[in-house]
Amino acid sequence: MARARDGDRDAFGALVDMYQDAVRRVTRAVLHDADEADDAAQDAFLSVLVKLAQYDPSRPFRPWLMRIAANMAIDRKRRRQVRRGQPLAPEAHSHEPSPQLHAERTALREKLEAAMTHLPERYRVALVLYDVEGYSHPEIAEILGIPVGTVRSAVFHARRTLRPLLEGWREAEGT
Amino acid sequence: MILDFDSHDVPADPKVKAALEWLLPVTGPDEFRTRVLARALDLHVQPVSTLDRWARPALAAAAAIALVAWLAGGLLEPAATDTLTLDGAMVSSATGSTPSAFIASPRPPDAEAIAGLVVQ
Repeated sequence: MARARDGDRDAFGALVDMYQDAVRRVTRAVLHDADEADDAAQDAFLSVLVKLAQYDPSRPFRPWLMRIAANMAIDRKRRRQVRRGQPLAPEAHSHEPSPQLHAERTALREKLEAAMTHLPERYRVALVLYDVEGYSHPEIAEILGIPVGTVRSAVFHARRTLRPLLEGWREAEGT
Repeated sequence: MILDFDSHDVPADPKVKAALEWLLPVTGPDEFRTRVLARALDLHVQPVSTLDRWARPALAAAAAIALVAWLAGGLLEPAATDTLTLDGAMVSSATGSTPSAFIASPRPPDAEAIAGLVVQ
């Protein structure tokens, strides 16, 4: 951290490597579109680089970074016209599934995307931060600047929306 | 699993986690890193250490200027004429106003004069 603050590009690159998964996932949860989400994630890292001098080392870095990333994505969404209905994950998988499995996945993806799209953005971010990134409710409250009770409610309602769609979900599907 | 958002310890849901990771995959980490670092180079962010190197001499110079200004101000300030000497206070005591003369004076009595009197 100190090296990155002193202008060491390799150290900054290491920070990007370490945190890009979480940052990009959160920006995608807000923005849907993968390219735009990566633009927001990039802006978040650059903002961190600029603000590193203001960073208080006694406070945890990850929530600070996630707060910047979430706000960056939310601001971007407000500024730009978001192309709703854009596929969230156009990338090819490492192996081709059978036609039947492919059709099931496509159907499930569409349902999940539709469900996610209808959730308020803070619900989506709260869900990703809680279930994927492992943050606690109070940490998410600090990141998003909302009360802890609101975070609990957001995670609860977001899960309640998604879970019926995951009845037949097998974890191996994601691999 | 019963989900209760009032609960303080709702465990993370592995099924939701797996589904979200599948739905929001993070790909091309090397490309992303390269892209961010390239943009960072364009930013020309001044490293904190560089700012530090300039901040310290600047602070020292500011302190020196302030000290010089204070000293110059002290030299230019007219000499105080309202210091209450002990002799003056004694004269005042003859009129019965010594305590009020000390209290009313904006400056303390001359310490050397008091010390000299005590020695005597």
